[in-house]
Amino acid sequence: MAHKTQKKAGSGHFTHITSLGGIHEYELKKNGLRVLFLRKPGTQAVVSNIVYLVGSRHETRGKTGIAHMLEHMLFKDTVDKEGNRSPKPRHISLQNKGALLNASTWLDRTNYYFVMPPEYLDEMLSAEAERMRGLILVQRGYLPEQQNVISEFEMYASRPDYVLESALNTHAFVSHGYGHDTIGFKSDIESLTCEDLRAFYDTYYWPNNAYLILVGDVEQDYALSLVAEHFSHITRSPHQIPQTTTEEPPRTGSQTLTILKNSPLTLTSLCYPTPRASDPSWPALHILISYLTSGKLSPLYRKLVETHKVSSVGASYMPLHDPGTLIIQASVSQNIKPKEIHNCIFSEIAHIGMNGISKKDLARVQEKLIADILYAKDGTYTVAQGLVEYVAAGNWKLYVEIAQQLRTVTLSEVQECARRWLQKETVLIGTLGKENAV
Amino acid sequence: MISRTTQKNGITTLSITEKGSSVLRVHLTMHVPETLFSGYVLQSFFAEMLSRGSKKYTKENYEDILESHGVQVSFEGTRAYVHMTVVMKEGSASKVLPLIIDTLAHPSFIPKEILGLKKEYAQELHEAQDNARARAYALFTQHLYEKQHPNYVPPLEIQRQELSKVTKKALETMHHSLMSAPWTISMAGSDVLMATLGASFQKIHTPTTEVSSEEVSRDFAPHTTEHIIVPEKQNIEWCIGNRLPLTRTNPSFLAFSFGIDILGKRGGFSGRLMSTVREKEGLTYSIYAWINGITATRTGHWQIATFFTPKDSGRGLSSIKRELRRIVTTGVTTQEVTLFKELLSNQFKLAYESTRSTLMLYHASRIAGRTPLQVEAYPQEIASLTRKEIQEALRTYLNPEALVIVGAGPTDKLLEKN
Repeated sequence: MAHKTQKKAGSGHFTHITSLGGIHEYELKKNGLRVLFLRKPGTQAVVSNIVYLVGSRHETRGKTGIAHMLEHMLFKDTVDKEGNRSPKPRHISLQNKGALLNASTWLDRTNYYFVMPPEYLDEMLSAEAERMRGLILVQRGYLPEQQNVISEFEMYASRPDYVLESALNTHAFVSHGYGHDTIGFKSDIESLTCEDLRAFYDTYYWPNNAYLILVGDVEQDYALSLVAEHFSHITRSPHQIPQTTTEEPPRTGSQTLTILKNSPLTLTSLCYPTPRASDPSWPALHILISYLTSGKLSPLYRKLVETHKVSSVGASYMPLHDPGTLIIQASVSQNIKPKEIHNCIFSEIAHIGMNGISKKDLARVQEKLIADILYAKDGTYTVAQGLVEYVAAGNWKLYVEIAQQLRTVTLSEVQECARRWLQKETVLIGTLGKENAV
Repeated sequence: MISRTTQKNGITTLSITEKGSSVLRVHLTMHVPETLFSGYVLQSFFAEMLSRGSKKYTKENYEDILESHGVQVSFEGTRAYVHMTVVMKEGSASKVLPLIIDTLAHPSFIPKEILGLKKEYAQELHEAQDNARARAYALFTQHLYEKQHPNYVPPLEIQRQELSKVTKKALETMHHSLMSAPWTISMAGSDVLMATLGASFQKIHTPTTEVSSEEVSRDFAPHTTEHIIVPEKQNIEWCIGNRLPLTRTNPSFLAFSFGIDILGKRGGFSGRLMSTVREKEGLTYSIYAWINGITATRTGHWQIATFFTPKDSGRGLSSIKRELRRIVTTGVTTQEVTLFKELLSNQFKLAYESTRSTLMLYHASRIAGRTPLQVEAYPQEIASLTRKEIQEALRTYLNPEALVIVGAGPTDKLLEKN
């Protein structure tokens, strides 16, 4: 049963923007905060997931990692709307009541979430609103957190797959902000100051640069009334939120990089440029990549894993605000040279570019991807998190529309994608391993 | 609506009925008989072979039918269990369910596939040398358990030897044993389909064996520190803990488990280890404590997992020992007990947030020997725990001076040997 109280209807504080697939978008009239609401009866839970439209793409050299560092600091002390310091960080009270909570920073966005039984929505939104503008940034809390982030950096740096992917992205983006890792460069992390964080916070953490996603077992009017109550006092940003304008120039010519490591693993990857999520070719590309790399019927699995040339093959890509990358990665078996793997992948892509894929294969991959979308709509948390990525990519409606878009992809669109996006002439090849293996 | 467990023909089934649902979710666990515990590789090899062809379906047919209907099927084998998980649209049932049943009842174990999987497995074992966390954990279990204990993870070299001994006959023996072993099944979907599937499972399953049990040992493993060098890593992965000679039915289990949550609750920052070693001292990004491998009939262990740089490892391990001594000598506070009761009770409610997590809660608990009613009684059970019971359990079963400590990573760069 949906949680409701005697609070007055909240929709009067909002302008209704649009509705799709049961998701309703509103804008808080006072300050431009966007709200996405989806009721999920019977879940006995509610998720509050706020997305700030700022990620590592917005950082500059010398200050890389600042979006992520700030994310860590949002779990520190705050002041309430009257300017009184809260006795302890607000999330602690919710955590002590059992909230599932966390945050993450990615290329286009930073998000923070709480999952709680519905009766705690009031407190969740109060805490979220307080840290939107009430963060206290002081050296004392900052130094241990800086050490924690360096520990996190070292955790990633110990993973060969991460090292290779990071190097590929650095080479793939010469100009654009996607070229450095979200965690940042170690020397930048070490040199960031509280003043840097304050300036970044004051630039980007405003209601008119955020989407608040609410999914769960609560009534809409009640939820909106709470949002209005807790967020209305916050003003719009006094400045225009800076937008990135740099476009990555087209890659000219294939490139190769090699990382020598004393590791038992030999990893190799092919990195291709991809369009932004809003590009009309995105659904066809999604199908192409899935056809190529996902499942035991995929040509790369059959030609590489079943022949024992690699132990695994897969692809890494996601919907992004700006043009990004697709990385096809493989873990190469002992005594196999990475070049043999590259040639096999090139050959498969060329085959698709020349002949396309079969009608049966298209139907199979469509069914698989659409079913995966259906399964991921179970519950509250995964739905909210799914919405986060499309909000960050610039159009949350794609979360609802993508299944239908996949359904209508044609054979010729898949073929065209192979020709247009997976060109041998623009590939960046990366390999990591021992000298005698690469 | 959750139907209570039914027991028929050695299968225990729990059904979560979702009105208007279009998705069927199934968790099926086969309990490996104790006589087959000597193997470690065989179970996971067997599980993987289940997706490589059966009497009526070739491997290609199998994959084609699953993918064409958007079905997710996975198999996993451990020493004590073989698990199957299925997620599918109910509309695909007529095509998919016969395939699932044939896969379980008549796997084909084609020699060519066995050979192929052996090569894949050998490569995975080679690559596993780079996994510092897994290697630390494996060595940790080697200090805690006898070689045939379900929680014992053998060295990679032993796994390689076992791999070479996997044969068609061994796989067939395993299959024969599992078809007569107890199965635990949990499903969510529509009533009619779950009833149909339940009946199909009954037809192929003829149990004669019972869930294995073991005697409880009360000894701590002796204090030990071990280091493994894994090159090209920034951090040393640490695994710290000892045996926990309790089964889930022991009255002290819940109290000890509650105390371990206060020490290092997984997820978030509420445990003492996260609030001190990470938040105050800034020594690591992640540090948690939990209980592992315990069922209604088997004992297991408690453990702490974290990582430190070689430079910070000495300080980090000292901090852990300090927190262990503190929780054993001065105990837990009344405030902590009150706080964790609310925390754990609300987190229990959140397990019902999705069908997937609800099903996992019940299925995992049932495998560990708990009935659905016992699962649902958890909030009342923790509500009645007292501070004294928690402290007593910690003092009895946690010895800060007897720790098995294993580090894997750049241990050659440690400043001091711990």
